[in-house]
Amino acid sequence: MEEKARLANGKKKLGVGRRDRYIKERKVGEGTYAVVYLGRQLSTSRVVAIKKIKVGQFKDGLDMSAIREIKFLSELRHENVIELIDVFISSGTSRSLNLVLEYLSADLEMIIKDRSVVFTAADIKSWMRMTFAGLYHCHRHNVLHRDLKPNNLLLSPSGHLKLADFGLARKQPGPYDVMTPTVVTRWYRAPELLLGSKIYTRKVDVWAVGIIFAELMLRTPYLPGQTDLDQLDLTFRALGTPTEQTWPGVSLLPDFFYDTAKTSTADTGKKSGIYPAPSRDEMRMRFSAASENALDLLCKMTTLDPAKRIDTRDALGSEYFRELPRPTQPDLLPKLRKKDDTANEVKVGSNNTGFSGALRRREKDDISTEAEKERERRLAGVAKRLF
Amino acid sequence: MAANYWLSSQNRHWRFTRQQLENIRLETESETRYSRPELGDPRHLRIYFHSLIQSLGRHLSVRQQALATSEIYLARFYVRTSVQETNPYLIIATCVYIACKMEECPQHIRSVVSEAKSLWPDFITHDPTKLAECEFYLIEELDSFLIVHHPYRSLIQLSKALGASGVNVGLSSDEMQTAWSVINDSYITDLPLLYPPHVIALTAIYMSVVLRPPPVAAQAERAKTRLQKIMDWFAGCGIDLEAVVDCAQEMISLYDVWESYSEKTCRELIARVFSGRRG
Repeated sequence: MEEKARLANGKKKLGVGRRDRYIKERKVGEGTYAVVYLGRQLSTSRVVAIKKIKVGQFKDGLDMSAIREIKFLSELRHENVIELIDVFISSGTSRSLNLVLEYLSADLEMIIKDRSVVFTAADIKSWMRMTFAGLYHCHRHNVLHRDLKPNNLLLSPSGHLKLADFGLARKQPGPYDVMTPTVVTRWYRAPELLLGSKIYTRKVDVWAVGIIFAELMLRTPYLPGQTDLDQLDLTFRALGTPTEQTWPGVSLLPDFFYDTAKTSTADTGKKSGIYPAPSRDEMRMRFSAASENALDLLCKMTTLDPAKRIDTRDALGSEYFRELPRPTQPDLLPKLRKKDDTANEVKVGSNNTGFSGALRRREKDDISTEAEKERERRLAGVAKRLF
Repeated sequence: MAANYWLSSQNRHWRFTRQQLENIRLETESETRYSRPELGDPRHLRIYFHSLIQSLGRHLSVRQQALATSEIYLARFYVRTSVQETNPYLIIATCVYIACKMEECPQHIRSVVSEAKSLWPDFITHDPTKLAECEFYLIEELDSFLIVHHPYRSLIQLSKALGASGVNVGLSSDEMQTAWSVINDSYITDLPLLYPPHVIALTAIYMSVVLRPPPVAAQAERAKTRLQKIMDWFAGCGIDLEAVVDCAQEMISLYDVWESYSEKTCRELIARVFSGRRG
C-alpha cells in the first residue's frame, strides 16, 4: 500500500495536468472490458470519446486488446485511422486507465442499414478509397487490423472514414510465426482463415474490405454465414471451391476436406461442397450496378488464393479509382438523418465499446426485433437468389 | 514493427540529446522526497538491473526481443522517476510483463509474479494486483508509447549489405556474435535514448571488427585491408561517424566501469534504500 501511495505521489508532477484536461459527460456504452463516455477536452472544448478500461480489481492485468489498441493507435497517425488523443489514469477510489479517442458519430454499418439513406457509386468509391488509404497506412507499418467490418469503419461528422477497434491488431509476424485463425468477424473472414491456416498475411484485411465493398453495392451482407462451416460453404458457393490448380497448397490447410477430384455440378455441389467458380456474367448479374472496373477490383480482392489476392497498394492504384465518377468529397457524403438521440451515440471501436465485441457475431445483436428478423429473412432470400 | 523509425514515437518522443537527458534527470532528482543514497556510479545500478531482467527472462523463457523491449521501458521509466521512490524489483517485473504482451508472447501475470517472487522474495509479494496496478503507472509514465525499435534488425540488414558482392567484407559468425552482445549491453547505457537503432548497430559492427584481438602476424596485413574496406564502406554510406564514435566510447567506458561492478554491493544498496524508506 505504501508503494501505491509513493507511485501515486511520484505521478503528481506529471499526471495532474493531464488528468484535469478531460471531463466525462455521460456514459454512452458498456462492454466487457470498457465503458465509453462522451467527454470533453477542457482546454479546447473538443468533444471526445473516453474509453475507460475496466479492471478486474487488478487481478489479471490489462487485457491484450487494450494493450494492442494503445500500442498501435499511438503509433499509427493517419487521416483515416481513429486518433488516440491521450491516455490517462483517472484518480478517485477506483483507478482506471482511460483512452481518449476522437469522437465519431456514426459508422458504415449504420449507413448501410438505414434504408432512408440513398448513396451513389461515387459515394461507395469515396468510402472505399478512404478505407484503403487507412488500411494501406496500417499495412505499410506492418500492422494487420484483423477485424475489419462495416461497424469498425467509423464516420466523422465531416464525412471522413476512419478505421477503428485495433483490439485484434497485430504486427505482421515473421514467416514462421503462427497466429490464431479465429480472427475477423465471421462474415468478413477470409477463406484461408476459415480453412484454419495459422500462417497468414495482410491479405486477410483485403478480403474483408472486398466483402465490405460488395456489401456497399448490395446494401445487404454479401456472405452472411450462420456458422463457421456455413460460412465456408457460402463462400465457396459464391466464389467457387478452390482446387490445387486455382490455389496451390490449399489441400494442405488444416480444415480442407474437399475432394476436388470429383466433378463439380450443381447437384453434387450440395453434398460435397464443391462448386464451380462464378462466370463473369454471373458476377455482372450479382452486382448489376457495378462498372467493369469495379467488378475487376472486387474479384481481385475476393480471390480465394491469398497469394493471388490484390494488395492495398495495387488496389489503390487500380483503374476503378481512376475512372469516373470521381469519389465524392467526404463532406458531401450521405449522412444519417438524426431521428433521435441514438443517432448521436458515440461509436468507439466495435459495437458499443467492446474490446470483446471483436469476435462477437453481429447477427446475434441484430435479430433482436421483428423488423430485424424480417430483414434476416429477406437477406436469406437474396442469398438464395444469388447463388 | 511499425516500419518507419523516423516517424515512430521512439524517434519523436523518446529520443533526447545528452543535455536534455541530463536536465530531465536533474529535475527528477530535485523532486524526490528521499535523500539520494550513495548510489556510486549510476551505471553499476544499471548493470544490476540489466542482470535482474535477464535472470527473470531466463526463468520465464522470454524471447530476446521482449527482454530488449523491457530494458527500454525500464530505461525510459527511470528517466522521469528516481530509483529511490520505487521498488525496482516490482518495476522490473512489470516491464517484463508488459513487454511480453507487447511482443505478442504474453505470460500470465501469476507466473511472472511467482517467478519474480522466487527470485526476489524480500521485494515481491505473491499478490498479483500490485503488479497489475503498476502496469497502469508504467504505461502512463511511458506516455503510452509501447512500440520499440531495436538495433538487431539493423544489424542483420547491415551485415547482409557488407556481405553483398562488390563489398565482400561479410562478418564472420564470431563477429556477428560479438556485435550481438554489444547490442545486448547497449541497453545498460543511455544509448537507446540518444541514438537511432541503426547507429547502435553500426557501432556494434565497428567494435566487433576493430576490437578483435590482433590476428597472427601473417594475417595482419589482410585484416588491415579488410578493416579499411569496412571503414570506407561506413564512410560511403553517409552515416554520422561521430555518432558511431560517441557510441563506441560510451560502450568502452561501460566495460571499464563493469570491472569495478559488484552485484552484492548493488543488492545491498537497494535493500538499504528500501528498508530506510520503510523505517
